[in-house]
Amino acid sequence: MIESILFVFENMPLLLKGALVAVELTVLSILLGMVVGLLVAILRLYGPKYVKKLMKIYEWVLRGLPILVILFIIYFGFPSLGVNIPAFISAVLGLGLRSSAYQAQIYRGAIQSIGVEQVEAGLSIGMNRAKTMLYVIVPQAIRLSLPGFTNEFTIVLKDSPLAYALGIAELLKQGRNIIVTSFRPFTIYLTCAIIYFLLFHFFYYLFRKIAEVYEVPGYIMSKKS
Amino acid sequence: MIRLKNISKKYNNTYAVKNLNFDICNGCITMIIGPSGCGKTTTLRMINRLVEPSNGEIFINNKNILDYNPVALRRNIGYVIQEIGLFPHYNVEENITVVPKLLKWGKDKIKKRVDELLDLVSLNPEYKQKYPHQLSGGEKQRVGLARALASDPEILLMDEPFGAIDPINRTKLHESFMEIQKKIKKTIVFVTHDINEAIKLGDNLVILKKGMLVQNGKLKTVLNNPKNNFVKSLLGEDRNLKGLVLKKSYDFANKKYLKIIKNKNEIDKTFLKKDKRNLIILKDKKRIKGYFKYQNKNNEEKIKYYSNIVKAGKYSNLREILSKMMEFGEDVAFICSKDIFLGVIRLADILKEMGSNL
Ligand SMILES: Nc1ncnc2c1ncn2[C@@H]1O[C@H](COP(=O)(O)OP(=O)(O)OP(=O)(O)O)[C@@H](O)[C@H]1O
Ligand SMILES: [Mg+2]
Repeated sequence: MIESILFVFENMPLLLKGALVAVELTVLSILLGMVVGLLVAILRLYGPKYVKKLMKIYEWVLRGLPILVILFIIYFGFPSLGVNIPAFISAVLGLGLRSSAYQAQIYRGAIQSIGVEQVEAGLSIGMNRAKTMLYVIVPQAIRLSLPGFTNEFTIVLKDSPLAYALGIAELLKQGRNIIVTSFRPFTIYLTCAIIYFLLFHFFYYLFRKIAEVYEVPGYIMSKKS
Repeated sequence: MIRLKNISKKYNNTYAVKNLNFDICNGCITMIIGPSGCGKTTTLRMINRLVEPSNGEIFINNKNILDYNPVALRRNIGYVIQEIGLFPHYNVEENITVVPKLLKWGKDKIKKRVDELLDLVSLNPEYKQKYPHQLSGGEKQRVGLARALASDPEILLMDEPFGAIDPINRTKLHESFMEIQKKIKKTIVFVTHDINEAIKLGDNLVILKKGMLVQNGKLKTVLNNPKNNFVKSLLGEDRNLKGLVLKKSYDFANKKYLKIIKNKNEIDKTFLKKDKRNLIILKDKKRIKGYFKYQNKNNEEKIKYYSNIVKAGKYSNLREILSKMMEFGEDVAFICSKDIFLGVIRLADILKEMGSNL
């Protein structure tokens, strides 16, 4: 038992390095997904007709494919078209674009549920369109999106081990490396599991705190129920 | 003054509003009324340019609204709607101060204005920190009104603002609304489909049907001269009764045929006998205790004392007084302003007033 603990501690630096890569991968993918997702959401809501269609197809396609297939197409498929993308960037692209399809849905739903009367209220008291967006729609949309966003973040975090398949040294891959030389899969995988679990709950807690800070009494609650 | 000139609005080739012409006078309440879908909301929203007319022009103080910058125009026009459109992520104070902040008022001025407005709409200062979801419908409505008034606009557009509020609270809001208007004297355009509300609050009436103007004018004129059967049915069979709402008790209270005594043994029987309208009122220093009346039933002469009297205030309207009389089974009401006795109103006076409407 003590021996096992010592063994885990010895290998902890490697595992933590892997965990850091997993977090980097997740955060970058989520950020990419946010930028693209917001754009897609706005275009799907306010864009010209054919752009709306296009965005709908974009969401459809990305949500309809297994993530591993997306990653393989980017990393192994694109080189045959003459496009070579490094493994880490491929992983961020794959996870990020897939996430953008889901985040687009979250933001679109949030903006839609705010409704035109809020825009009209803004205009009617003499705000211009930009100010109405900035002071009325965006702050509400962020609050309404937080629960969905938190969920999406943890999904991407839990999908990050798939980057293993592209040879990226994230947590699971580091664990595997250790197992190859030590033959102690149970101890190592269990340690990996604990680290993922802790990461998950750390971010979950963090976003919940953020939501609490920005909570408007009665508002999000009543929208949720 | 707001002037609508040949205003039409088409949606997909059907007219929501067709060829409207009417004026809205400054400082008065103009009620737009008509059945659902007749274009009331559309008409209102063309005034602050949330909807652009397909045809025609609207002038505010003789200037075409197209010549105003829309943002500046809307700052001079408060807009209150049923669903209010309060910003749920702002508390009451922030909601009210959105416009003053946009106008870059100083902190002190803004603070003073918030207190003024809350006082005006009779909300306790504690409400400043509350969020819209923590308010009742009536309270939201008051905040909506305060927000619309924040930058002291000349014009107020109200679209069924009290529609979703229960009758008891609506009556309260009506009363405070009338009091507020007495203080602020805004040009108010008020959409409703409740004729009783229109009669209670309005100075002028604009009646629409299927997007067209049917009749407009002073409330009293419309009540007395409904132009056609549509207006008659809108006003209701009891329009004469409704007309009583416009008549305030202080105009009708009189002291003819009255004698006031302080002590029961001062009764003057011959005075009572002389005219069946005559009353003798028993009144100590301030309070009216009851009255004496001559009765002649089956040739049996009697002076009867009534102590269960109907009292009403100076600003009560004749309709309220009539219904009180019915309730108590009395045919005379005593009008007092605080402790001052202004006179009585008899059932016969009210019936005569109703008759004069015909
Ligand atoms: N944006 C729109 N697009 C198409 N038709 C519209 C639009 N807005 C209003 N209409 C139509 O115009 C007509 C008048 O609508 P409006 O909202 O002005 O009625 P209203 O008198 O306010 O009715 P209510 O008492 O039910 O509120 C209706 O037939 C309505 O369907
Ligand atoms: Mg309407």
